[in-house]
Amino acid sequence: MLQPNSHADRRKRPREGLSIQIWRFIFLFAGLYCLYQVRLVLVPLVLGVLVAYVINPALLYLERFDFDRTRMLIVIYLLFIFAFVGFLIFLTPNIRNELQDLKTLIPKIPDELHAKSTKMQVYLDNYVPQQYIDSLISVTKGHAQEFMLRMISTAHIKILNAFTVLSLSLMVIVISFFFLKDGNMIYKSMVRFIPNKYFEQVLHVICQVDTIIGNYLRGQFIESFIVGILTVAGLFILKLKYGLLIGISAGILNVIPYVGPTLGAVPAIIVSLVISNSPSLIPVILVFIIVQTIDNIVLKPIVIGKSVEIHPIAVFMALLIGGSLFGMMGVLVAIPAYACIKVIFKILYNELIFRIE
Amino acid sequence: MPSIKHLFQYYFKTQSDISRESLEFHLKNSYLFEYLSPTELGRLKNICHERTYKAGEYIFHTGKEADAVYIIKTGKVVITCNPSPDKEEILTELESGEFFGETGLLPKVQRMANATAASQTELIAIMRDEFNGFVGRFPRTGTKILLQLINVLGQRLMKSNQEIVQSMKESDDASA
Repeated sequence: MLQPNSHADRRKRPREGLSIQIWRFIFLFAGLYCLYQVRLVLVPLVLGVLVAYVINPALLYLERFDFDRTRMLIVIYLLFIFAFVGFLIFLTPNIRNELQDLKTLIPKIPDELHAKSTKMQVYLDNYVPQQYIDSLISVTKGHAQEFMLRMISTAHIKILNAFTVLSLSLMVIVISFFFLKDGNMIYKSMVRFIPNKYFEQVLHVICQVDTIIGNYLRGQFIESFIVGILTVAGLFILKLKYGLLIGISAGILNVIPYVGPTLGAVPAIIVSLVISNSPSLIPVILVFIIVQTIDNIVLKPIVIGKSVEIHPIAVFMALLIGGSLFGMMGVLVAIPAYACIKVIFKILYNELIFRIE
Repeated sequence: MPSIKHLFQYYFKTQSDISRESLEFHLKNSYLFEYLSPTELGRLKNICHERTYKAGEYIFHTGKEADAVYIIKTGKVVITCNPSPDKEEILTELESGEFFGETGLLPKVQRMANATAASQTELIAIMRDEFNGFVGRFPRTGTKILLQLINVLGQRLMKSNQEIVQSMKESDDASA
């Protein structure tokens, strides 16, 4: 007959040797270093996982009707590819033309702004000496021209490089397909490696993190999509030039909390100031304010809800830390990463309290 | 000539059969899942985790947060409690087909007993978070399982009520 160790005995068990702990840390850091070295290969992998996260709920919904997952997946991917090809066929020429136009327009922006600013000089002369204004304008002009031209020309090459886009898209499609098809099997075989001692806690953490990331990504995807469409529609009504491009970029930038919507409005403001027969500034700004109001009052509570409940100060801190550590990528992943770390710490804290008690 | 409906079913519908070695077979043997159809068992299989424990290995301890329910595939499990910190008493022994830790399916519940593998034991674990998602996707199947769970918890509540009444009677008799 088995006589289990008592609860008290378990607590008196000697701790694991220090050398084992050190070896674990060495393996962990070696693993992280290897990941850092192959970070470029990770891009399609991460994108594939993100796409899988967005599509998975549709599959889970269809599973209710007892549909075969793989066959359903093939149908969804075929529809997705048709939609993507259609999008490319209809929108690429427009975007391309707008980018080409923009390239010729960029060098004129500082001059146009200078012309507009001369109207303000009358007021400024009373407060700031003329030489300061002139030097400021010349320095800004040089830098802005150089920076924007470089940005647009490199973006042009990168975005329209058909081979890169197609190969990356193909890799993402294939990776996400296999993640969706065999994701459960991969997940289960990884769970097998978790020691029995930590099984429940680790799986609880994984489930919580999975829920947070899934809700956040799907919410952001839907929110950005609707914000993009509303902005394009608003700018289309105002007949602002480059409305499509500005609307798409506003939708993408909307992913960055607080800062993103302002950044998304900047190109529209510049275009309305610079191009002669474009609508005046106030209606353009009003479009962005209306879209953001709809986003904050209607979309955010419905789409994202309380899935990622974080204090605004924590959001700012997370964005600053993410941005300073990993740049733009850091800003994008800062919020879900913070939410995940919060959940992990909460569960670890409960575990620690249990051990102390 | 097959109809469009048949073609649709041929392409999309899953086929399920239960072999004696399959996970579905072991799930069907358990009281919680005995009323589930082969298709429902096939769906449930997706959220099951198979775990192997050595003889004497703890599965969970008293006071820990409960996050999973376990079904014994093979082997034996001993459920014990700690009336005092230095003492451990055996409450029951469970064998293949039986389940334990069912309170793990309820939110924010702590384990009331310890569970230990008495021999080399294979278990099927179902996590609460994954089970909640499953009930959301398949409410009919979820209701069947939850009704069985209510049945078990109700019987246990009735049994402990009877024990309390019995012990009160005994203490009254002793004082009289």
